[in-house]
Amino acid sequence: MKRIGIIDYGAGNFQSVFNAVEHLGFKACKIDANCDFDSYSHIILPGVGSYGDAMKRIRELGLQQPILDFTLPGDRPFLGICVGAQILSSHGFEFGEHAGLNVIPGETVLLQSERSDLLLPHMGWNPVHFEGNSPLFVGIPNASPFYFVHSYHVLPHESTQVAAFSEYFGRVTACIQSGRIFGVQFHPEKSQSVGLKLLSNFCKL
Amino acid sequence: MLKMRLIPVVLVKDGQVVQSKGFKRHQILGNPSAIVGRLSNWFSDELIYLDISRLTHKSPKRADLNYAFKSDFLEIIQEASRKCFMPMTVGGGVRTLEDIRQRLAHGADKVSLNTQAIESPQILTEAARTFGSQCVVVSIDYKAEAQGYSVYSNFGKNITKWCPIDWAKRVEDLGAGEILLNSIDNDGRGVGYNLEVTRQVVEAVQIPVIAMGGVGRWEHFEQCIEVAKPSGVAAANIFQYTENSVHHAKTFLYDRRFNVREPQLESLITEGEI
Repeated sequence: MKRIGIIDYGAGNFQSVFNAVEHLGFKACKIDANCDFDSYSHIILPGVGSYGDAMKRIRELGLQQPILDFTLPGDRPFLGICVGAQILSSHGFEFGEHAGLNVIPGETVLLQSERSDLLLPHMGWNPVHFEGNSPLFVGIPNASPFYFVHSYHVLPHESTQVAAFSEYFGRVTACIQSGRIFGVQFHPEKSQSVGLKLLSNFCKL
Repeated sequence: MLKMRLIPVVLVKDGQVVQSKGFKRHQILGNPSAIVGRLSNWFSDELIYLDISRLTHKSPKRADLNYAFKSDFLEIIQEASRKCFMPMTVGGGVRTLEDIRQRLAHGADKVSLNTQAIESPQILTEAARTFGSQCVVVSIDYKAEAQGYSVYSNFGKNITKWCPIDWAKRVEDLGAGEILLNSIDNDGRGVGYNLEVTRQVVEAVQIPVIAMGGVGRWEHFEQCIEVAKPSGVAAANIFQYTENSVHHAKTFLYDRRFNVREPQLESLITEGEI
């Protein structure tokens, strides 16, 4: 029996992610540091807000070690969403430098462009281009638009770990992947049909 | 590149969805749940819920209505958020940071402020700092005067000293992440958007501007996108008249090669797949 643990650490989109997983018919469970992470087949780390704030809460709530223990073997499906994806990286540079979970080595940096009038945050529906054959995107047409709201993105040290990208006056990392560990910069829980399909793909791994 | 957003607006008054004309006359359209269900299909890019109930107005519990009457606006948005997996902006009666927090907790992604932003503008800065500017929307209602345009507060009742362009620039400086720009004159008249004011505000600020007020035909979306170049086009009444209206509007724009999401006919997830 699949049990999808969704980490509740005060991130604003917890409920939306929970609603989406439940709507899909999977067993969604709200989890915190008191839960035995090993009893879940899949774990989702939602997130909105800033990198430093999210990491601070993760540490204060005692969630860092359980997440590292769950992801270390690399065989159990784990999905970070938005800031939840960013903090999988090694460092973030939003409001100063912050150490991340370092699950997928890389840096989380401000979106860059040669245009000085770049509007940030990058907010709205933008086509996502798949690289390689990530199981997350099975059954979803390439270049389907997903909903983004962010100003920073992850640049993994290993460029092959970028599983999808988008374009916003330059290349934007849309999905990072290392084995069965995934991070999506967009919000699948707000991306209607394609987003639900992605979550369903993840939960079926 | 980012897609142009097509956004249905749901006006809720005392727990009922209503149609508005000139911000004054409100005709009851019915049960929010049914309407939410209809608009939460895959064609809208976003939804805006505005509670226009007056604070002094008591909700009439009408026994003759054959559905569960939901007077609590927070319940309505919570129910909507369970059904529609798309971004949701919620506005109306937002006075404090706690009001914002509550709406976000009930499923809103963004919260829109109007009167409170005019009366105590620092709330925008505090809200942006606490929740991020991406979730702080300022709705600006404006009306033509003998000389130029004026911003109004309190559902179009009270005139302010601001013109829409100066107020838009001011709220951007204070931390607003988006502007919902609504013409009181055009509201409910089906004459099209006020293109001139919309264009001027879009050009004056660096944050997304959503145009609202006056759509009577799909061509009005087209005109506004071409002339004023907003980030999104919103409308309320026109989406309530016909079945699948959002799909029709989306298809109209898509067929004319506008940069909108392709109107999808069905979910990618088939029944019984899980």
